Amino acid sequence: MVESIMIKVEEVVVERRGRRLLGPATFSINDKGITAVIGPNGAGKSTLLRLMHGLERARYGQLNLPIHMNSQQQAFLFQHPILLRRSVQQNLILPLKLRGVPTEIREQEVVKIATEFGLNKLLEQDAFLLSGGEKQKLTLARALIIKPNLLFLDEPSANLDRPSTLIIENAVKVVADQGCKVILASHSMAQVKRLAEDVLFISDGVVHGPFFVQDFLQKPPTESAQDWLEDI
Amino acid sequence: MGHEYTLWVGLFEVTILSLQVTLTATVLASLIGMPFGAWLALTRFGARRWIIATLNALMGIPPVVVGLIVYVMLSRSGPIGVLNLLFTPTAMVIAQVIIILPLIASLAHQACRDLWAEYHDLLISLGSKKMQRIQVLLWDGRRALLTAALAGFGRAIGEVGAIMIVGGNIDHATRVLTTSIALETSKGNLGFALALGGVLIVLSLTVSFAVHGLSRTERASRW
Amino acid sequence: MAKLIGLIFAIWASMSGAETVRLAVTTSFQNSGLSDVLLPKIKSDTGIELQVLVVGTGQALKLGQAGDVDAVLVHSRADEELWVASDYGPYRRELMYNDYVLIGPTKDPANIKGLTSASVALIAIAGGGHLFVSRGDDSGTHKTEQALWQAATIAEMGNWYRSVGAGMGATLNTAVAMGGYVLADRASWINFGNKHNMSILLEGDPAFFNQYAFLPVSQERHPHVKREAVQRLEDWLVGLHGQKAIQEYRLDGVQLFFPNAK
Repeated sequence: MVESIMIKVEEVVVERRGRRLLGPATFSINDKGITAVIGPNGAGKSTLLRLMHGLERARYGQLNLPIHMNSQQQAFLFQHPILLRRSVQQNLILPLKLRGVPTEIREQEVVKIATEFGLNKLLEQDAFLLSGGEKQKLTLARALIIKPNLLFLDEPSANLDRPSTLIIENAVKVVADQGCKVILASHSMAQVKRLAEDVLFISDGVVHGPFFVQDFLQKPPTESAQDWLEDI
Repeated sequence: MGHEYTLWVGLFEVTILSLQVTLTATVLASLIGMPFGAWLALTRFGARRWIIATLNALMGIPPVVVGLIVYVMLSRSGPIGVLNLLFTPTAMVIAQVIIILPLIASLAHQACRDLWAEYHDLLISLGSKKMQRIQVLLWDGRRALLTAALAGFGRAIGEVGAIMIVGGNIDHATRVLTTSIALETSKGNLGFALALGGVLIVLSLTVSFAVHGLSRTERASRW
Repeated sequence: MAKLIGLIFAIWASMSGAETVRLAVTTSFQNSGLSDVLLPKIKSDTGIELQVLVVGTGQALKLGQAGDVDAVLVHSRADEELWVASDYGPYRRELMYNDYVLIGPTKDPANIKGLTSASVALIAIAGGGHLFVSRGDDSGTHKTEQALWQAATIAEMGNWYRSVGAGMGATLNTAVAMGGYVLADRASWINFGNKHNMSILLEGDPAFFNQYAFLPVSQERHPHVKREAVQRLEDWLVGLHGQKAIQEYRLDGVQLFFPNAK
């Protein structure tokens, strides 16, 4: 089972206002399955995800995505859900509208995915009035409505209760099984164990890995990793 | 009876013209200024700070100076005099558009800037084009934009210096509420002038309430 | 091609029934109420829709010079003659006259009531340092006022002299509010709605003679002016109908204007 190399990162450095946020980082991860990005708060997990998606620019270094990946086939789930000040239905339909998908198909897709995520009764609701769990389900549904090849999740269940977390995780597993690559930043090792095959560990902007999950747990690669595992 | 009837008809006439001129000017200035404000909020380029500063500065130009400049341009001896626009309601609309455009553009820019800060990551992540982003900002920001339009309307409906110069306060042609107030004051008919002022206030408030009623600010579910 | 458009335009214009003529007049003409009486008569007798722009004398002549109006009606002979001499218009046609009056607070601190000479009154006002409000806007009224000060050989104005740079109405408002003396044309004063406690204190001095004239704008300079309609308007004003209407205009039982077209 040869898995082709998907994302190659070479000597990448991200800076903002003269401060180094990340790097120099070099690693490669494959294009199937779920990779987790872990590390202490403020280490640079979000920055790494945003860099790979294209929301941050590297000051130095190179980022290589395979040709069939472009930003139209990626989706990003933010830590705090970003919703339009509109109805649930309007939020779901947005990515399709932006791509010029015809109206009838748009509406079909919205109903389909809303039903999958249990949101179909809430379509006319103002999105801002949903609960935390519902909002995150909505943003995940919105992310998946375009059937992405690459999905980024930035600590998606950090503010959710257990039932909502499980729903999100199940959806992520299903999507990964269907062939979408998932890169998941998480603060919970338990979640990582449930979902991921390999991990990237970031501490103070330095990226280590990728490691298989079990390897990482049994033999933490650095002292900072060890400290972190002990803390959580 | 005859004299009173003429007064009422006259009052109706100037009120209608006031509304026509100022509503037209507000719509035009909004059509130009709002997309521009949104575009300005979205676009990064060197001169941006200067444009914003200029917009803010332009808001402070005395309206009567604008009137003077428009007059010079529209005069038969001026560059675009052949259009024969001087002393017509069109000239008044032009002057008012110029006066309120910086205000509307500036307020629209502020509204869109705030909304853009919120939507920034999402809209970029979804791969939207600039034009699409402008549309999203303008639509979702419509409450604040309506307030901007209202501000423009308020500034224009009460203006008298510029439209006096470019309109000429011609009876049955370019006489509006504000220029009528000026005229009646100059005739010493202070009571009547005050009454006209009352009408102007009522008009302004009515438009304001109507706009807010239409946009149903108090309804809970929609923002 | 241009001829065709011109022809269509002319037909269209004549079909629209009313022909529009723009006339710049001085504030005193409007404030007397005469224009409100004349306009409907002009409309029914000649079919001309007269658009009246009420501005100061200076601005009226400037509008005529720029070609922004078709004709001018003012009362400042020296300026008019200069204007015609500069070829801004072919001639000035005298139309009617009225007189100026000296107005002030009824309690009359300068004691000018009962005097017959404007010069003596002005000397009393200046000598006592009593408030005097001037148009200060180079209008016909203002120029007349300046000539009166000259005739009284008063050259230095003290703090009591308030030049407001405004039309007749606004100037009267200011004078009333300040309780100052002011020179006004009789017609504007009688029609003025805010007299408060001011009244006419001096009248009848020959220097108070105030001649109004009609000045068509030069068609050579400004081919677009409605020369034909202006001519009809002028003919009406100096003819039987116009002069009669002017003669018959009364306010508070007082005749305000005296037709003297030749």
